[in-house]
Amino acid sequence: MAGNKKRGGRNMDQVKKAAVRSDGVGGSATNAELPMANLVRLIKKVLPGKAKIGGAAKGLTHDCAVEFVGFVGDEASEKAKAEHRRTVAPEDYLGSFGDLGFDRYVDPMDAYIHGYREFERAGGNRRVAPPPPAAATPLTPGGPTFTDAELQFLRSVIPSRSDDEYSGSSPAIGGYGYGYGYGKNM
Amino acid sequence: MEQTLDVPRSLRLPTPKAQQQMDEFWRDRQKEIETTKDFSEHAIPMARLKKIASSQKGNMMMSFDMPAFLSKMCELFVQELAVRAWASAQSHNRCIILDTDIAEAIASTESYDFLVDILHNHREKHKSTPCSTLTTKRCRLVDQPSTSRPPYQHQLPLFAPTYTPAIPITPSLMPPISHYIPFQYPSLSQEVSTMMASAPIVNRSMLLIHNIARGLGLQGNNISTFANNNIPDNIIGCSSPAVLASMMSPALLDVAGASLNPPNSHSICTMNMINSSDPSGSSIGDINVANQASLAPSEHFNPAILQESSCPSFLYNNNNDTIVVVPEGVDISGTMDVAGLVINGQEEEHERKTNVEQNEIYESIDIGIINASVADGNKCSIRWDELGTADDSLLDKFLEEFQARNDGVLHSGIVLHEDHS
Repeated sequence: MAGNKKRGGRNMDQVKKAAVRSDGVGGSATNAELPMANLVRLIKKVLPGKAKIGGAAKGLTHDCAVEFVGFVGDEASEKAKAEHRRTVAPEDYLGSFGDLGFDRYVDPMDAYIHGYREFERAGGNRRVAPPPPAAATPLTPGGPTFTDAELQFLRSVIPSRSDDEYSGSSPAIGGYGYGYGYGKNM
Repeated sequence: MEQTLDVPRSLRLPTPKAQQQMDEFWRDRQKEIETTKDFSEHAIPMARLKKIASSQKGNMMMSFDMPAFLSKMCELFVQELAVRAWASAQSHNRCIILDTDIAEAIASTESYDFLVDILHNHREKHKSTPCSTLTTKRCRLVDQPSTSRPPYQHQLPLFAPTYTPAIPITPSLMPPISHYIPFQYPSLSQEVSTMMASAPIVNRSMLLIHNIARGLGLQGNNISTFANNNIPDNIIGCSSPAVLASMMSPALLDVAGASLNPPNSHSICTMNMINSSDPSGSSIGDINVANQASLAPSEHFNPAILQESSCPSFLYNNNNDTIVVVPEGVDISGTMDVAGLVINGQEEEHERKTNVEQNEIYESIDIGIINASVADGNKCSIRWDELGTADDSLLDKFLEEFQARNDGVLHSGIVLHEDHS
């Protein structure tokens, strides 16, 4: 049973490969391109300093990466279709890794996707943009008096500063005392 | 032919060193992913990965987290392939990774079978047109950096405004508070210092007034430089036993003088009355009154001088003795005034007691000198009036007293004329 399934998978791979030949050629010629500098940077991260990469090796690596993404993507999309879903999710890819023999990828990619989702919930890239204009608008007027909304915002942002403002009022009393002392001197 | 060549390569088993390297690689990747905290940076652009993944079948859609997932997946694949190629390069004792090394890595890994077709295409390209492949690679290298730079530039300005406005808020609020708080303390200290400074000024002014009064009194005494005038000054200012002892000798001298020259005794009495006005003026402290007191004796001194010119030489010797005592008396009287100022209540009582003793002494003198009994009586009355005015500090009573003194002087003048006749 298992052996039969594996063989079936291989046969399917062969069929895909035949299909990919025509599509791959067209894709590589038109759209399928990745920035070479980024790939080289990634490769040098995991290799010793003395290691060098030939030009032909760089090109071959690029082609293999594009093929890998398409290969795994097709498998994942078939899984989604089988479950009557039109949206492909990372879980589909995790399942594909097991079927295609990339068992090593399951654990790190599972950890990555969990971390990424927590990052998004806590306030990812998209949520960082709104705060700056909200902070900028109350600072722009800078009038002598603040509205209630502005005061609440300032207190929430810098509670210790608001305490300093209250203590700041005492110098005014001190100034009055100084004037009184001056009157005494006269 | 080619197929037969591929088969033996696939049968090769990975060396134990290569296996260890792969295990180490995956452990490092696992740790790296678990420790990652910033998921916003992606080594490979996500838009292109979307195109590649969706180019096969465009009907399928992706969830929001797919692009990041694809980027990381591609990253791991490229790095794994590189590590395997490096292992094969090392096995051939080379430091440069060639496409042949990658081919060996693909052949030695079962899961990379889907890449065999790409290898064939790659080889065909190299065999057919090696020059054209080189030119195409150069073009790619030139285009790629320009595309990667813009996204970084866009990110920097987004973060900068979020932090820059926060920094100036802190110094704008903190420095004024730090300036105001210590500023209050020096103002308080200034008030205290002004209060302290005001008191000594008042004290100094009081001291100056008393000094002026004393100076005027001394000037009055200086006008009458004769020995006869010095004795009453000692009597008036004295309160200590030393000065009282010195008083005894002058009293004896007076008695001797009276026995020898009765007319001189009259002159002594008149001078005492005149001098008594000076200390009263100084004690009260009015400048105008002191001036009047000092002027009056000068008018009366003229007849006294004429009278004294007829005195014998023996009297001059007596004068020399009395002159020695004068400066001590003056100094002591000055110190007395200062002490009186410091302690008002107790000192007044002591002064009254000493005055009573002085009155007793004068009574004894009255007994000795029968001719001048009336003048002595006048002295006693004047003393009590002076004390009353000093305590009450009333101007009206002082004026009445001043008139009484003038009357006394007139009476003494009449007595002198009678004696001469």
